[in-house]
Amino acid sequence: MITVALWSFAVFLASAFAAVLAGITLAPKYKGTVRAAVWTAAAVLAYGIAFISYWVNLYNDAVGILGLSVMVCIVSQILYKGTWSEKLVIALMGCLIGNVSTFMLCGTTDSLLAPKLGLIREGPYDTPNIVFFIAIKLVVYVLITVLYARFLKKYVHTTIESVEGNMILFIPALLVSVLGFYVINLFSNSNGITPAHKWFFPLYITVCIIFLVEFWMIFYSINQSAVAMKNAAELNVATNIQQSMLPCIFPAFPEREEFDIYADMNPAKEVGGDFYDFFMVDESHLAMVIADVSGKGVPAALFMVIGKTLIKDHTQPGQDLGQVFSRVNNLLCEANSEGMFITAFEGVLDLNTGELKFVNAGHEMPFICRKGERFESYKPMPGFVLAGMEDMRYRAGSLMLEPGDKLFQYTDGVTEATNGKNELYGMERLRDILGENSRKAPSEILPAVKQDIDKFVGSAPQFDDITMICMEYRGRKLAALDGMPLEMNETGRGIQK
Amino acid sequence: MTVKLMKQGEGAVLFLEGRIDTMTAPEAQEALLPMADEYESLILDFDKVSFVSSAGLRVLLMLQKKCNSRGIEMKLIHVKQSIMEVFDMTGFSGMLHIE
Repeated sequence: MITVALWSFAVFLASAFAAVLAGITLAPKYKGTVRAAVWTAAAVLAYGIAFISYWVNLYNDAVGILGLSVMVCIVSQILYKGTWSEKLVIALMGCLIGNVSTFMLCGTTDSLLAPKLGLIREGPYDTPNIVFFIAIKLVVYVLITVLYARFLKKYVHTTIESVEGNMILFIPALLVSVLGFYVINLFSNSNGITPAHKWFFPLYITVCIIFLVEFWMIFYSINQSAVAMKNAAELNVATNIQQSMLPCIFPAFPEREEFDIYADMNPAKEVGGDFYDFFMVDESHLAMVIADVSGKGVPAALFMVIGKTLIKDHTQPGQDLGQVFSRVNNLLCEANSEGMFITAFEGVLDLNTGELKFVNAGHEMPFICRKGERFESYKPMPGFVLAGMEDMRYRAGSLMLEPGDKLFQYTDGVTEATNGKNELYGMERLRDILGENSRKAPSEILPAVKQDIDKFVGSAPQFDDITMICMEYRGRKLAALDGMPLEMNETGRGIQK
Repeated sequence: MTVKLMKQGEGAVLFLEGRIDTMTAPEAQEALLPMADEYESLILDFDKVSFVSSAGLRVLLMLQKKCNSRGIEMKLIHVKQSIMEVFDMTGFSGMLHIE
């Protein structure tokens, strides 16, 4: 009788421990008094179940332990906040730790120490031995609870947060482990592999190691994929934000007949460091910018936003472009802890005269197509990159565009696009494809170039952002007297065509 | 990307080999920047360098700035024509000491 009582208590303790683990991990829904009352009622019921099942010898361990585990799971669903899967997983985790540590740590220490203390007389289920077993259990449970609270609880909470409480994927593994452990326990008991048996220790050690490895793998990989999914979702949003930051409505200024402009940016990763921009500086001046931040991904994208904003902000009517870049350069150097730099090219076109003023900060050579001819590269004065060093001086250059002339600019993602054989696309191929499309409109030239690059690169991955901008100057159109287009003659007086 | 070191009195000659691009820039940075702390002058031999991307330029810029702040002389030698073009276009040829 006493043995049964004590043994039931020993078994009950394992589930009490599971309840404690669940209690310190989950967030409570009711006051302490309510929780204490419910747990006490459950404890009494649990102890009663354990006692009865041992008394009538009815599959003692299975009913006792399994039944108690079910109780812990049910009570934790009632008393705590969170999703049902989260609560179930924590309860099962508690049960598993409780049962494994009982058989592993308590069972083995008991079988190793009890004989030495002269406690075992006839069998391992004698009173002194059981009392000793209970004592060991208490020590082990307190120790594990303290260690868990100190080290593992944080990790469990982080995991729950990263999957946002959706722990359904964890349940199968835990259920299988909990049930599997009972089966092994049943098997070893029915074959007499009790704590005193020589195979007890190796068998349970192996089982524990398998569990540990399994759980580590599962927790770690679910955690990783949850984090990865969150990152992917955020990057998705960032891509959209960035795409909408660059002027992307084409045709861009349909009411302005003096020019046609088209641009495109293909980031290598979800967000890129390249940018283009075009805007009206005033009624008769169009600015266009192309730039490339050294680097890719989020850091370059952030720096790109700063660069774009500064350039646009400082490009004011009448401002010398060299000074614009000098000021922007100094501001960028201030905001630059990562040592990034920006190559940039800005042009401002006077729509009345066709004069294109431009400034170059270490950027590639643009291509110019004179009306009726083919695209040729144009060598602007070299200048140092932006955000490289303070107090750099930049000099603006100037050239005249005639109606029908086109300007094409790009970033090094175009010329340095690499194929599977590590060959670069290069300036020659770019000149060739531009040459073939010299008659086309900007909105047709860019897709043609992109297609040619894609064909060259094949299935090799895209290493760098690919950005292009093309502008065609159509010349100044005067308002006609009766709807017929006018042209200016040399004296500046309008003549009707 | 590999870096071989040859001491020359108080200074060092660094033989760089391979590509300096997005992939190899971090190791280049790790290998080269400490050199500015240890030696009084640096010579970077670019003879076996096949390609420098903007990531590589960034490392060179950081190294040059570090040398400037320490008052150390840094120069590049045996730079291939293709890489010289990159230096010219980005204006780095005006900023780095190239022989």
